[in-house]
Amino acid sequence: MTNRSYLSKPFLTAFSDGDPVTAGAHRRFQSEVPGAKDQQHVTIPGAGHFLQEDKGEELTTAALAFMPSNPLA
Amino acid sequence: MRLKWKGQSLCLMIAFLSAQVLAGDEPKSSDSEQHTVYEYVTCAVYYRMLIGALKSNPSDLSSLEDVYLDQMNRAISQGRRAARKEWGAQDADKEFDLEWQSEYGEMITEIDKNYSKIRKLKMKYADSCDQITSTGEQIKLTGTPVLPALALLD
Repeated sequence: MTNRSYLSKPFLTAFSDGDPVTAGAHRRFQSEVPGAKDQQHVTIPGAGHFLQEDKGEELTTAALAFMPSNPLA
Repeated sequence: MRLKWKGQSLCLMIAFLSAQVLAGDEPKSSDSEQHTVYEYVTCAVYYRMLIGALKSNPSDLSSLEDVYLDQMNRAISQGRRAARKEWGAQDADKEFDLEWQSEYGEMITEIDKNYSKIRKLKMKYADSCDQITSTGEQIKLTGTPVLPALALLD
């Protein structure tokens, strides 16, 4: 697997709950990426592989919630 | 004697019908994994790219998205099953993901990250992927490949 341990910046996973391609990949990111620790990760329900198109509003909401809780140092 | 013969005949017929019913419960040959993981993943990525092209340029053909999505999902399911046969349950998902990333990267490069060049992929993959992801039932019902509409794009 790709080494993701160098990704120390704040890292949010926002995966769809119905994507047959990426299903389960969020667990690997959350366990391997240091910046993903203690973040408010989300799983967006009712979306498929094309998350941005299927649930764009929900994805944007997750990103907007992520930013203020991770201010620039 | 005659009645007994009829009884035997009836039993044979029931046995024959039962065998047919059981055979009908078996997966159709076209539904089982007759192709390699590489082939299934290639086609799944191909249909994913077709959907991407439709989404990037909404048109009257947008209803094809559901058809391509169905093809993509079918190829993914078959590809994951083939991966489990090939690498076992423990490594199947990882190998499938690596194959997907590789194919996706290749196709994105092939169209220069530009969905308006999707025709390049169609020329290369349409026929074989239609065959690989078609079900025997659909072929039987229509007598034609599942996605003759592929040629309508562009």
